[in-house]
Amino acid sequence: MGESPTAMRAHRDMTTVAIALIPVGIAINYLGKSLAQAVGLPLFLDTIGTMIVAVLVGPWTAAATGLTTNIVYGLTIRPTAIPFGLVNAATGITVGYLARWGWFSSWWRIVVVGVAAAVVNTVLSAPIIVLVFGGFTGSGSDAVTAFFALTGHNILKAVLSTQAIISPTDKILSALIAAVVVRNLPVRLRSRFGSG
Amino acid sequence: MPSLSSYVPRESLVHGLHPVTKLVYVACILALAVVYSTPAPLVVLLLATCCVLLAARVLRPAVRIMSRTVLLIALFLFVVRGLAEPGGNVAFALGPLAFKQAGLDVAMLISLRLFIFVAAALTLLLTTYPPYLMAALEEKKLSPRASYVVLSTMQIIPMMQARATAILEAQQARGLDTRGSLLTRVRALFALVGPLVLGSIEGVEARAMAIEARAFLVHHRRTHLYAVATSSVDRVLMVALPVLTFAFATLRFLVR
Repeated sequence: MGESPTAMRAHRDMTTVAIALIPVGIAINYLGKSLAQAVGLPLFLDTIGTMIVAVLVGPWTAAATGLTTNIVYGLTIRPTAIPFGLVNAATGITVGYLARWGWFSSWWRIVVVGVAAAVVNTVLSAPIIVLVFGGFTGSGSDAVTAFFALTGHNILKAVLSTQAIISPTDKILSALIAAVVVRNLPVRLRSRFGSG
Repeated sequence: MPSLSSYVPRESLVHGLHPVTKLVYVACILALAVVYSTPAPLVVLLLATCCVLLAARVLRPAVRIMSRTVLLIALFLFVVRGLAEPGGNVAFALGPLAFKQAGLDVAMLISLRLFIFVAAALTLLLTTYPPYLMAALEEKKLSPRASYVVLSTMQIIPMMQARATAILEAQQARGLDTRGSLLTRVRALFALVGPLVLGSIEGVEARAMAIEARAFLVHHRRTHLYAVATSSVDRVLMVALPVLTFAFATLRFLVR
């Protein structure tokens, strides 16, 4: 059957177990914020689930997880989250390929993965934030963006600066958490999912 | 089983419409919001979408959601971009704070568009039961796997939220320190996420087997539990809405 290369790659990743994992990944993304609040950390932590799926299964299933996370956000509480679906998906692809290329083997490498995810996230979300939302997204980071904008930077620079501060911490911590979780999974489960 | 959604069950014309009709409506409203770039027609458009929300009897929940999400953004936009926009003339001043016209214009435009988008989206989301939406999309060739993922997620999240609370309380009962130094808090985070995720992932295998046993992967025509009906109103709207949108858009470009 004629399928596009992307679809074929996605299908190759996706066994039933992988598909059944996606909702759990999305739920973990969803709960990341509440968990951060529970320990009083001003972070988003909304890609832990995507990263776990990226390491366990592969980049394209992680992309699906990321994209669907924002769709579910949109369908339930925040319609304004929908434009960022592709950003979340791109994070999944980045982390997935890095994981496949062995970048989850040591703690320092995982930090690098976090930085890479932060860069991808920043570069892709900044234009959306500026063009669609005028620079503000209704979250805590808006205060930081406001500060930068009011001290003489144009709105794009303000958004990029905000992201540059917040994103690396967020993504590095998420990558570390994802790595710890995967390492603590029973080996049997890890191989069941695919990449292992 | 409680499922996560913003669906508000009411009896209204909009509730009875086919989900795809409502999707077409959202697309049309979005197109018009992009086409118009001055405040006046956008305000009219916003009022129109609010009238539809009123007709659907979901205006109050919609306003509640909009004030939670878009209002804050609008506030920041007016204040920050009003003050910070480079160049241009001053619209008015509050003491030492000079609000620039250009900044206020941008803020107005973006805020209106955001309100319109959310209002239109809520018209769909508040009046459509998620399984109906998914069933309707599957009729239009959406993959059943995608619809499974979305619906399953909506059911899992409340369950996992409850588990997360239980884990938090259990860990705190074991002396987990969730205040204190930064490092302590980060360690606390690991102690919370770990059990939550590990427990959930272990259930995934069982779920996968359950859906496979129900012929999940079979590429065959499925019979749906929910039959989503298309009424004559739907058929009319699905043609009328795009046509009207196209007409308004063309008008706007001709008049310019």
